[in-house]
Amino acid sequence: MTVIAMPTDEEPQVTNIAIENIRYITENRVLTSAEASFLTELTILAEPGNRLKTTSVREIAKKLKRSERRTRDLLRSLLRKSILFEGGNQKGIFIHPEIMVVGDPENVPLWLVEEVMKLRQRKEGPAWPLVLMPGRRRGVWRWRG
Amino acid sequence: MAFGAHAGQTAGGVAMERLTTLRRRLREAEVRARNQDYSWADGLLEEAERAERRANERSFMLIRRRQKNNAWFSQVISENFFCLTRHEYMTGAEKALLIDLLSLLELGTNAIVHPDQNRFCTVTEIAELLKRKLRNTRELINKLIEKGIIYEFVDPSQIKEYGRVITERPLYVNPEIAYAGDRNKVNAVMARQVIQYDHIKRNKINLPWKLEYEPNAEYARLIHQKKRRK
Repeated sequence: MTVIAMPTDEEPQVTNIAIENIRYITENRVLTSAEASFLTELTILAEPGNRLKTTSVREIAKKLKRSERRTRDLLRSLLRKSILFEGGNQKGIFIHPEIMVVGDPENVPLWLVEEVMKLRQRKEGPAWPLVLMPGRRRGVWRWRG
Repeated sequence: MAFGAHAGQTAGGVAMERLTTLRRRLREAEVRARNQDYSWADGLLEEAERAERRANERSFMLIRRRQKNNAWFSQVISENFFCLTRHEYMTGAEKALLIDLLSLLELGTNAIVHPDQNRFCTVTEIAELLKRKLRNTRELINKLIEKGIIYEFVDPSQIKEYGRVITERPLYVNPEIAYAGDRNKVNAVMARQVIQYDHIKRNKINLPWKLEYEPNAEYARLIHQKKRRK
C-alpha cells in the first residue's frame, strides 16, 4: 500500500496577479503580447518584495532562454512603461507591485509602497484601477477614486 | 435720490433677512440630521451590547470583524511556471494569453467565466473580452488544451447526438500552473481530472509542485514532489 505523507508546513512560491489591473492592461493594450509573456517569466527571477534577483541582462537572458538583444529590448521597454522600475531608496530593479506581487499581496512592505507612491507622484505609469496605499504597517489595496 | 437709497436699503435688508433665515434653517436641518444619526448609532450599539450579553451568558463572545481586503488575485505557481519556461513548453503568445485569461478566472473553481454574466465563457466571448482575434484565440486555446494548461468539460451526449459540442465548453486553467483562490483548497473534482489526464507529465515534464489529495478529502493541495514521501 502506498501511503502519501502530506506535510503541512511547506508552501510553493507564488506570484499574485492583481486581476483588475491585468484586465486594465488587456483592455487598454498597455503591453504587447511579448512584453506580457516576458513579464510573467521575470516573476520567476523575483524574490519576495518584487526585486529582481539579478539585474544582469546576460544572466536574465540565459535563465529565460532568450537572446540577449531581445531581453535588453524588452527590459528597456518595460522600464519605459514603468512596469519595471529602479528603486530610489532600495537598490535594484523591481516589478511594479500593483500588477503582480511575489509573495503575499496583503503583506506588501511599506518601503515598496513608498517607491510606488513616488512613481505615482511623478505620474509615471498607467492609472491602475487598484492601487497600493501606505497602511499603518504594510501596504493596503484601494480602488482608485 | 433719497428715495432710491431708502428703497435700496430696504431691498438689501430683505435679502439679508432671507439669507439669515436660510442659514438658520440649514443649521436646524444639520442638527436634526446629526441627532438622527446619533440615535441610530446609539440604537445599534445598544443592540450590539444586548447581543453580547446574551452571547456571554452562553459562554460565547462577540469579536469585532476586521475590514477585509476585497482585492482579487490570481496566483501563478512560480516554480511550475519556471519549469515550463525552462522546457520551452509554451510559446510567448500562449503565455501572454494565459496571463490575460487569469483576469477571467472564477474564485475557487478556476473556471473561465464571463465577468458580467456569471456563466462560462465561450471562445468567441473570450476573444471579445480580451480584444483578440477570434481565429488566433481559438488556435491558442486549442493548443493550451492539448498541452494540459487549460482543461475543458465536454458533454458526451452532445457529441453522440450532434457529432460535436454545440454549447459553450466550460474551460478552466490547470490549478498546478495558476489558481484563483486558496491553493490549499483546490476543488477535488478538478484535481482528480488534472491528475488523471496529466498532459504535462505525459510530455515528460515533471512539475515540482503537483496536486495531491488524501482519500475522501474534500480538497486537494499542492505538494512538492521531492519532499513527498512514499
